[in-house]
Amino acid sequence: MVTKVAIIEDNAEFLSRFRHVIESSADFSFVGSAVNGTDGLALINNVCADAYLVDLGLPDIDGIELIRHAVKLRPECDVMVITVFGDDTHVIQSIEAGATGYILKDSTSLDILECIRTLREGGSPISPMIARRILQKFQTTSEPAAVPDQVTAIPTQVTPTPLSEREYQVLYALSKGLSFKEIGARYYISSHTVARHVKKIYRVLAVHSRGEAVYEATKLGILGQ
Amino acid sequence: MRPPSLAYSVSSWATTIMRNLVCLLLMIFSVCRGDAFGAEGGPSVTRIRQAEYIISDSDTLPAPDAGWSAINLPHHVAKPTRRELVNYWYKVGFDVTSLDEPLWVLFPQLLSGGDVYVNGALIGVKPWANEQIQVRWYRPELWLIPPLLLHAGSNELEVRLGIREPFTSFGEIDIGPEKIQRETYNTLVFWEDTTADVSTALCLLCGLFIMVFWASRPQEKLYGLFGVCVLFWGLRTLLLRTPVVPVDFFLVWRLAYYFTTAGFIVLISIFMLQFSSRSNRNFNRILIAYWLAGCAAFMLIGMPVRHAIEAYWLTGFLPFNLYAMVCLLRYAARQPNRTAIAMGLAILLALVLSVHDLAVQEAWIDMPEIYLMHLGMPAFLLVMIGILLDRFLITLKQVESVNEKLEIRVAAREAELKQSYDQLRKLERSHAATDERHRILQDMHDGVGSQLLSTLMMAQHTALPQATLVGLLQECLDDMRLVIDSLTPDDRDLLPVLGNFRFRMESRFHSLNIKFDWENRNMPESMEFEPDVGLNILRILQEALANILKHAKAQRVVVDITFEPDRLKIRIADDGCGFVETARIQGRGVSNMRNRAKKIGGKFSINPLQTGTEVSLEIPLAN
Repeated sequence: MVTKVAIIEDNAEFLSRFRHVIESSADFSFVGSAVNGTDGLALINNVCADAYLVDLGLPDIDGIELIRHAVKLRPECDVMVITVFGDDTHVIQSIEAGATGYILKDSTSLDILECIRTLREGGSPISPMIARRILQKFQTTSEPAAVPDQVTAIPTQVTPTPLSEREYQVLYALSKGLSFKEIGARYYISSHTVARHVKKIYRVLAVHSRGEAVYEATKLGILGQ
Repeated sequence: MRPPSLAYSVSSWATTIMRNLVCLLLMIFSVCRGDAFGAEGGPSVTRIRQAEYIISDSDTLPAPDAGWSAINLPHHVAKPTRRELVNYWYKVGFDVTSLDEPLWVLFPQLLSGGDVYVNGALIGVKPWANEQIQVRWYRPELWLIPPLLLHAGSNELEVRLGIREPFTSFGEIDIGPEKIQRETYNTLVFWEDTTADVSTALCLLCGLFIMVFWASRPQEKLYGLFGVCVLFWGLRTLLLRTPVVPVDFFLVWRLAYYFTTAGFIVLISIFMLQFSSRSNRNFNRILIAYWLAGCAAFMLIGMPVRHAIEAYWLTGFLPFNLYAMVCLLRYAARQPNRTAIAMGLAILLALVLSVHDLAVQEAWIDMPEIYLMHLGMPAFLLVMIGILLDRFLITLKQVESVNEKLEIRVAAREAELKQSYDQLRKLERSHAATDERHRILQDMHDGVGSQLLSTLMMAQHTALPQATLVGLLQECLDDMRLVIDSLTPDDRDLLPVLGNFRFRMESRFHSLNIKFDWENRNMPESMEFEPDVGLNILRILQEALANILKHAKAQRVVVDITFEPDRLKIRIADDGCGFVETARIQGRGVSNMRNRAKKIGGKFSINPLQTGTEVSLEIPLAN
């Protein structure tokens, strides 16, 4: 089955490179592109893709908005964020908005295709730094008094988080720099399963942060009762 | 309406209690007097007010013409002769109308005792003063008149007694049926005897208690003084109420009585002055001197000065006592707090009672000789207990409020500390951020910045092959990634940074079809490093891997990281063309790595393998 991919990216060089990579593989088909936020929204509305690749630094609208829109309008699709450094600030923001993966702008074509494939198979990529940040996020939001250092000090879940025991273990191992393969070997699961756990963790974080936002908004009186 | 404050209600409560107590005492006093004389109006009790008496040592009733004098009862006059012991006969007449009911004779006061006869027959004996003993009875007497002795019409009752007192005192006589007489008798016994006993016991106990209290808190002089006062009063009452004293001890007994009585007056006066903050050393000295002088005079001269002592010396205390009272009353008026007011009222009561007693003793008024001063002391004790209780409550309240204040202050201090701690943390963070900014700037300047600049220059001046340009730019980008990965001012753990590096390298080697094995041995929970140390480690790793990519033509790369308690060991091995061949080309990279290792105190070496090269780095850990 062919995976339909749409790209929203304002840099023509990158856009053409990504398009080229997509079109070069028989498993993928390029279904449309946009070079700004407005066109991007229209693209999401009009073109049904399996995966949307979204750049955050668009000239008119914040890429985060586009991610939200895509996730809301097409819940069955995957949204990937295109980032230069894969730094935790940008990636986590995107994940909280509903993205389930990210691609570095200088990734090799092999990497790009591999990434989208993993995503369509139900998994997600993650770097140790991002794993660590997500872990901290769950711990600080579920228990405000928690000291960040405890992340590494206590290998088992101490406070109730929205994560399952296994998801927590996977996230913890990831944050220590273990690869999917190593984690899989440790818990007698395949590396695909580890990737699927990661995707699940992303979704939980998105829901969790949405809950937080609603809670904050209710507290501030933005939302009604 | 505003509800009254607690302090106000406590104060009014205490004053009300005090007022009620005083009222009660006054009421009891009046009731007692009413009871004593209530019988007068009774239909069947005859109060005898007319009598005849004669001074006679005769054992039998002197003849009617022996020189009897008619008097009114109570008979209360100064000793008629200079003799020490005077013997008297008193006789009264009474009419009996009905012989149906037995008659009882009640002496409300029979201070000096006496042998009581009815129509010449002895019906009761109460020891009276003779050559061997001195007596003083503070209780009524009730005797049955044997019906056989009585006859209808006029009857006579005779009393024989001896008196040593400066005053001759003979009270009224009631004759009537048992029921009423006994009631009156019981009431009198209660007020003259029982209350005095209770009061004496109370005084002695409280005095001792207060003395014990004083012993444990010697700075509380006022309480000590009061304790001594109470003890003196208790002793005085005890002495006074010893009914029969052998004549041999009479002088000593009387001296002890004067000593304690006057001592009490002196001490209570000093106490009152101290209480009203008007204590005066000279006043105290004069008072004490006067007290001791009086006692000494009586001790030396003895009985002849007894009347002078009682009439003038004891009365002489009155001005001192009055002065002290006035001071106290003024103090109470000026400082209308409940303790001062209660003390003032108690003093007034005592004053009234003592004036009454003096008047009775000196026969200034025509009242029965009932002494009531002993009732003043319990009132004083009550006030004093009230004051102590009050002080205790105040102290308790103070302690509570101090605790409360302390709690508030501790909370405030805690908040302050928290705030300053937060500020400190903020400052620390901002310092850390500033340090980090400096480090990164420095790093960009020496690293990425100059590398980009040199690449740019090379591209401007020479026609670089595309592969070289790509390589140079890739190096720039890689270095920037390292810098970004180490951008963690609040988190010094090297593990995720290393993990990120591995993650990135894995995908790069994978895309070039080079087998990349990364092995962590004994990985700890965390490994903290200063950011620049961490960055240098990463840069050495990066350089080594970049060299392999550029020059080694390897099929497989192994990264071995061994975490040991005291050091971190990193080994990078490849199966490429070997160090010797590439040494010339990678000269600058190797010296860079060496310098970096030196900078962080690590050991760096490059060793050729059978196939390929091995780079090892050993970094000692702080602890």
